[in-house]
Formats: sequence, structure tokens, C-alpha cells
Amino acid sequence: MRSKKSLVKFTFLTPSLLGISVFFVIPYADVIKRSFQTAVTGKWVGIDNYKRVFENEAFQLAAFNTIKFAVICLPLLILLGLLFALLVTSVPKMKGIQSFYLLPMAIPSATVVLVWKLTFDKLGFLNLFLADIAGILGRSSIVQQDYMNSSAAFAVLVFSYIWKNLGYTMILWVVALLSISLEITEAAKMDGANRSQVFFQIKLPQLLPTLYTISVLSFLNSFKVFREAYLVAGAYPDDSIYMLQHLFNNWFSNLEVDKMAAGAVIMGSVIMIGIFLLQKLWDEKGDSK
Amino acid sequence: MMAAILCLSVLLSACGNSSQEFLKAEENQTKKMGRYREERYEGNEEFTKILHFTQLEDGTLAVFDQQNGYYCSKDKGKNWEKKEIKILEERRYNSYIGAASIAPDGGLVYCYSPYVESENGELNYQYAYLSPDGVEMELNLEGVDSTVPQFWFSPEGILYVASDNCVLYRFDKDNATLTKILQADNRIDLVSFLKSYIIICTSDTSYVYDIETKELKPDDELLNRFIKDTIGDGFLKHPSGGYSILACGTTEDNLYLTSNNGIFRHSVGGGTMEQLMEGTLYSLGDPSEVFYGMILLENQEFLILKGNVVSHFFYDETMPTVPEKTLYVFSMEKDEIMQRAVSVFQEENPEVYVKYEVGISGENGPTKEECLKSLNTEMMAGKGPDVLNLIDLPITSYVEKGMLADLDEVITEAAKEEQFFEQILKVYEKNGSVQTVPVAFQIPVIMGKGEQISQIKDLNTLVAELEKVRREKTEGSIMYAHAADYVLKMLALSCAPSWTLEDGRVAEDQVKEFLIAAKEIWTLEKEGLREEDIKKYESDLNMRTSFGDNSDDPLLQSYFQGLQNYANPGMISIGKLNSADTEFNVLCSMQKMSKEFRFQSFSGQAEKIYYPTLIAGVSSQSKETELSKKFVKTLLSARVLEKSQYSFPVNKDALEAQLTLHGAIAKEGENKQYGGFSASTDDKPISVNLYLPNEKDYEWIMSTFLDLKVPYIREGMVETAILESGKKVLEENMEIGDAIQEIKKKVSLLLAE
Repeated sequence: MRSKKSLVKFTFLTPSLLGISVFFVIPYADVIKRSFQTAVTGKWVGIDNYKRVFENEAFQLAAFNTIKFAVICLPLLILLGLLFALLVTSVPKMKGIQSFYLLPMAIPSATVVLVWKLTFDKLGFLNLFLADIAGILGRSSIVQQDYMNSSAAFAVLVFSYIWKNLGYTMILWVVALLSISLEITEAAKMDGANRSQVFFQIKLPQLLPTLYTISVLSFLNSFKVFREAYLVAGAYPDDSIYMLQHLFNNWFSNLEVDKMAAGAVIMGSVIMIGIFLLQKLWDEKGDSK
Repeated sequence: MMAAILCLSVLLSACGNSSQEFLKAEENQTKKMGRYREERYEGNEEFTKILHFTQLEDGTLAVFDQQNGYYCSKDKGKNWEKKEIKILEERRYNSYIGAASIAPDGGLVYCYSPYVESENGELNYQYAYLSPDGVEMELNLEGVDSTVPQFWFSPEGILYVASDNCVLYRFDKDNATLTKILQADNRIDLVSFLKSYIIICTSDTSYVYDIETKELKPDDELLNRFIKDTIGDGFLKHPSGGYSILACGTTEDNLYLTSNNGIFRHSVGGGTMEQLMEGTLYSLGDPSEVFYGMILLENQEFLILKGNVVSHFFYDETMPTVPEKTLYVFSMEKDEIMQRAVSVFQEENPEVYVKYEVGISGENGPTKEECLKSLNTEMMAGKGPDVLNLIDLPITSYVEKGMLADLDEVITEAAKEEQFFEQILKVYEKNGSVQTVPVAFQIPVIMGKGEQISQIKDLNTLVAELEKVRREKTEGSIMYAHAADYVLKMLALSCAPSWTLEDGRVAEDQVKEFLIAAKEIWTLEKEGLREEDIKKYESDLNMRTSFGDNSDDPLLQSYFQGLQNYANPGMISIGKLNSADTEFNVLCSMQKMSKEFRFQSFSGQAEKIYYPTLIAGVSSQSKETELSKKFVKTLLSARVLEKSQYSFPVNKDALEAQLTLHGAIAKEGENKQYGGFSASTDDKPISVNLYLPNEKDYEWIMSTFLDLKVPYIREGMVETAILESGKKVLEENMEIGDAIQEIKKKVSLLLAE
């Protein structure tokens, strides 16, 4: 009976295992193998590739920018998403246009990039607008700059990421907020809890599981911002928006597959460790409850 | 779920079976025998500009050459004999023959203009018919509104005439009357006769004329699409007299068509265009070949005249239908030399199929970077090209990673058979191994008055000379640059190699010197520029780009800059010398015509520079290493390189062939004219007589090329960064120090990677 049950379990698992093996496990194992070999000849070089990657200044810069981007964007997105979700749930009319919030996600990257270029170029709308403002204020001229090729590019990229993901994050928060039983909040209010007490003592603890999901999704989405950065500023953008994907992209163009494999393994490991830590933190919080 | 697994396993096993079957089928297919074979008959060297090629009723082949006359061949084009006809020889000697067509019985119709000009100075064309027995009769073509009409004879010997105004007439010899057949929308270039139809082709469409009903049939969409796909925005008939498409009809109403893509059979109005031969498997695929005529023999054999070579295509049942081996050749952009090499190699090795792939093709195709990534993926998977043109590819990385095979043996063998500029051929030799071989190149030249350019040794002397020019010429351009980025690009031609140190870092002092000089030069150029100069420059740029100029920067061509300089003595011009026939000969001829025009190689911050335009490499992972090396040898051969149009060959014999294309090298001081052309610059008409290169010219080019030492691949990342920041210095008054910092910042990422 037991073996029959195992067979059924195995039967159900087989398609997923097959898919994961073919599309993830085997290619990733190949990447790990390549990270210990030379690019073309496949000669075993031990941890040389890892040493070269860690010593590589471009990797250091790209890793720093990627981490900096995640550290700034994640909290900002999560908080803004929550704020907007609270606003939406408290204003009944705004619920009706929820699908509108997902619009930025539906806009193709190429279109977004075109808008960014038109806006942030040296002769773009932003500079024209600032020049007009300067004119109104009686200042003769302003220094026009190409925002995407200056240190301001980082701020533009952060804005782009927030703009694109805010609607989606907000919807997740809205769903979580609406799933909180009204009876509990009403009961708290009856007991004399004010708005902030209701939020921090009642709602927020119940939103924590959603926070985990949103954090992981936002973290993963933060890597997708490379597409816009690449399309706007090319393979060698301003230092401030030079991300790990730029580096991997350029390494691949130059057939530096060995370094790229080592870099990918490092990056994958860091992401996995981050997610595991996050999960552990959540599990511990769940247990302590 | 079990059912799903079963389905999956069935599906997988089905895939396995089908792939095996596919492989078996493919194997069987390779064993199938029978394919067209090509035999080339190196024809008559006296053919210069062929006006007509046909087969006479008795099977004899006939050619009428504009300069040398009437020729016949009784052995399918292997040997040609000149037909001496007294009156025709007189006409040829005293007149310019504009068009001619041979009748099936051997008669000839032609239009000619005596060299003596008419009162109004225009050519006075007359029309004549020469009977097979050599009697000339005047043709009255009154009513044909045309100076040089085109002629065709139907298989029955009826003459058809097409006017400049796109009208096709039938000429009735007996009563000398013209009957209008049709009015086309464009110039009529090609007329073919079938059993029931006449096919009339222009550069953008075709017309099907029903001989019986004397009416036009509905458009043959397939034929029109064939013309459009083959010609694109080009022309069906070239000024040289050759065609992009040839057509010949049969009594079965089948039309046979030839283009670079192969030979096709099409039933008029039918729904298929059957490909009988794939062009790339034969010399047909060579883009430098222009077709002059096509003849259909019995057993569906074909004779095609290309220049002075007749290709005979016949079906050979002993040849495998599909070549047994495949050689994969790649270049990022379409390369005329590569295309020709593929064609020549294919012809010499019919058992091999050469698959030539171009990374960037078409306007909406992938970008260079996308191509590079897919190429790298292919190479990593062991399915990459066997032979590569390494321009636009990461050469250093490929060499470092052992991606390329050693070609030392190939070039040593090639050098035993032909002569090369060996210092160029082996420039990338390292530790006795040569993995990358420059095949063709360009050089920078400077043009101006002799006393000016002889003073220019570097950037500083160039600035000093330009200051003198500006003092003398206060208005207008002094170097035909007109825009800051063009000044930078021109100067970069002979400066860029000095901008990086050996370790790849930016050579700051050199870049600073370059930017200072560029700024001074731009200030001098800008001082005298008027609005009309800028407008003229923009229209020149647009015109050259719209004419499908093949070069990377149309206005950097020495031909164009040379014409400007020739028309405006006193200017100093800089450009790339790209080819022997179209550029070097023109510059040498202008030098002979004007004492105020001289040119020399340009040394700015670097000297003895050349830009390889094709660098060959063979993949070390190639499974066809020997064939690949054989291909590289073909690529280096004079037969391939003597027709390079946009760069100079590394093969000395090929260069000699290019220099002697129009006749032997003339003696020093001797000016032998072989042609001429007119052009207009700044609304000044200029005419240039083309002279054969003389011993002095020959010596100059040979010694200059033998002295070249610094290969430089243009438009790399460092050069692009410097030109971008340089533009800000010139146009926006950016401080040079800031520009250098900006450049260093951009380049540092590249270096750090």
C-alpha cells in the first residue's frame, strides 16, 4: 500500500521534476561546471575564475550598483505600495480602477525606453521644461544635461523601477488588506483602538506573509530593470547604472564564458542566500507567534 | 497523470523516431545523384562592352562588342573568331555605336553616331541594318522618340525597338513601319520571346504581351515579385551593359531566368518559380559578376556570358544532388570579397556546399551585438562557422581563448604561388603562429597643392597649413568637413592608432594633442562657412547615402574629397583611399590633369597606417579544418581579390591586375587615356580624363603599401568614446581636461571587464 502511494506521488512529481531538471537543474549544473573551466578549451582551472571575478573592478562596481539599487528600491517600493494600497482601500471609488494600476507592467520596454529618451535626453522634455521654468523665474539659462549619461541616471532608473512595479505591488497589498477580517478591526475599534493602533497592532502583523511574497517578487523584478537601462544607455552606460547584467552581457559578447559562469554562480548564490534568510526570518517570526 | 506520462513518452519516442527517420532521409538524399555542373570557358579577352550575345539559327554563338566588333563561336564559347565586315569596321572606327542586336540569321541592327559632332554639338544617331552577307541598309526609325533605342529580334527575325520613352514597337522591315506594342512605366531593359507571349521587363515590373490577341495579359505577380526581390532598388540593366537578371524563353511558354540567386524556370502566369540551380553553388552567386546574355541549349543546358567568360551549365548524373560536405562561412556584414570567394571556391569544389551567412542583413535585422551573441552561442555549442571575417568580432578575445586555428601553413603555401604584401599578411604573427590574416585594407590620404601637402608631417603642421589656407581663402570650406564630427572623423583616420597605450589605457597626451588640434581646425573651418556651404554639404551627404553608398562614411572617401579638391584648388582634403580602379586611378588622373592637385599618404599622430577591412580566421573547432584552410587560400588568391571594389588586396598580383585593368602600366610622363567622366561640385562642372597609371604611380602605390606597418581596426570603443567627447569639445566648448576624464571613465569600464 505504502509503495503504491509512493508510486502515485512519484508519478505526480515526475513532470515537474522533468521540467525543472531540463530547464533549470541541468543548465545550472553546466554553469557551475563551466565556472571551474576555461571558456573554450574546457581546461580545469579550479577557483581561478572566481578569483578573477572578485578581483575584477567592473564586477565590483556592478555588484555594488546592483546591491545599492536593491537596497534603495525594495523598501521604497514596498512602502509606497503599501501607502497607495491603504489609500485605495480607504477610498471606495479608487477600487474600481484597480486594473489601471497594472498598466505600466503592460507597456513594452521599448515604449518605456522611448519615453525615457524623449524625457531625459539633453534636448528632452525635462530640460525644455526646466528651461521654461528658468525663463519664468527670470534666469537666463540652465545647464542642460543628458540625464541618462550622467550620475542622475541612477535616480531615473529607480524612478523607472518604482513606476513600473508600484501598481503590481499595490494590488498585492490591496488583496492582503482586503483579506483581513473586518470583524477583528471593528472589534479593536470598539475596544478603543485608534487608526494607527489598528494598523500597527492588527493589520500589519497579518500583512507579514504578504510582505515576504512582495519582497521576493520585487527583489527578482529589480534585476529586470537592466532591460530599460541597456536599451537607454547601451552596453557601457554611466557608471552609476552599470549593473551585473551589463557586465555579463559584455562578457558574453567577448566570449568570457568562464568569468561569466563564475559571476553567475556568485550572483545566484547571493540571491538564494538572501531568499533563504528572508524565509528563515519569516519562519522564526511565525514560530514565535 | 499516467496517461499524460504515457503520452509524453510516446511523444518523445515519436520525436526520436522521426529524427532518426529524418537523418536517414537526409542520408538517402545525400546519396541521390544528379545536379547541374558548371564549366567555364575563359573567353575572348577582346570583349570589353558586350552589346548583344545570342545564338544563331545554325547554332553558332554570336557576340557584338561595342569596341571590338562582331565575334562568332562554333564550340559553345570555347573559342571565338572575329567576323571581319568592312563596313562594320569602318563604322566602328569612325563612329560611336550605342546599341546593337544580332538577328537569328546573323544580320545586325545598330545605332551609331559619327565622331564628327553635329552643328548643335549633340551626337547625331543613325540606324542601320547589316544583312548576313555584309550589306548595310539604313533603317528609318522615324517615330521612335529616342536617340539610343534598344533592339531585340524575335526567333522569327522580327525586330522590336524600345524607345527612351518606355515604348516598345514592332518594326516591319518590308514596309518600314512601326507598330506600337506597349507603353511601359519605366525604361524597357529586357525583352524575351516565348511561343505565345512576349515578356517585357523593366527594373520594377514585367508585362506579358499575348502575340495572338495582341493584348497585354494580367500581371504575372510571381515574375514581378522575382524582379523586385532580385533587384530591390537597383537597376535591371547596368550602365556597363550587363544585367542583374537574364531571361530566355522557349517554345513551350516557359521562361528561364538567371540572377545571382541561380537559374529558375517559370511558366508564364503559373504559380511556381522552380529553382533549377542554387546560385551560391556556382559562379552565378558572385556579386561582382554581371550577366550579358543567356542561351538555352538542348537538354536544358545553359550558356551564360559574364564579362569575357562563358559558363556552360549542364546536368551531370554522376554528381551528388546535395554536396557531401558543408563549409560555414560568416561575416558580420555582407562582404563582396567573401561573396566572390564563396563563388570561386564553390566552382572549384563542387562537392562542397559553402553556406555563407551574414550577421546583419536588412534594415530590420538584428543588431551587431545580438548577432555577436548568437554567433558566440553557436561557437560555444560547437556549431559555429568554419571560416570567419573577424571584422566587428572580438578578435583579441578569440585569439586569447584559442578559438582560432593557426594559418601559418596556408599563408606560406599561398605565398609560394602568388606575391603578397607579406608584412601585412603576417602582421598578426605571434610566436610563429598566424591566427588572423588581413585580406584587404584601405589607407588614409591627404590631398591638396604639392607645396601644401609636402609640408604636412603631423597634426601641428596640418594646423599650420590650414591656417595659411584660411588666410588666403576667407570664405567657404577649407577642407570640406563642414561639421565638427566630420573634422574629428577625418583627423582620426591617421591619429586613432596612437590613442591607446600597450596595456589598453588611454594615451592622455596624444588624445589631448588631438583634441587641441581638432578644435583649432574646426575653428578655422567654421570661420568661413556660409549657410549655403552647410546646405550643399548636407545635400551631398544625403545624396551619397541615398545612392546606397557602400562605405561607412560617404564623405570620407578619397574619391569624393579628391573631386572637391580638384574643383577648388587650395583646399586641403583628407579621405580613405579605398580601391585601385575607382579611387587611385581617379586621383592619379587628376594629378596628371592639374598641377595644383597632389595626394600622399596622410600621417597625423601615427604613420604608415592601414585599415584592414577583411580579416580571415578559421575556427579551431571546425570539423572541416582542411577545407576551411583551403577556403582561406582561395580568399587570398588573385582570382578573388583582383575584383575587390572597396578595398585594396593584400595580394600583389591582384593589385597588379587591378592597376592594369584598362591596359598596361604607362611609361613615366606618358599619359594614356582610357576613359573619362564628368561631375559637378559646388555647381561647377568638372570633367576628368582617366589615364592609365604610369610607372611613377605604380611605384608610389607599391612602395607605400610595402611600407605600411600599423593595422588599425576603425570605430572601436576607445575611438567612439574619443569622438563623442571630442564633439562636445568642438561644439559645446567642453574643457579638454573634462573631456579626457569623460573618455577615461568610459574606457575604464571596458578595461576593467
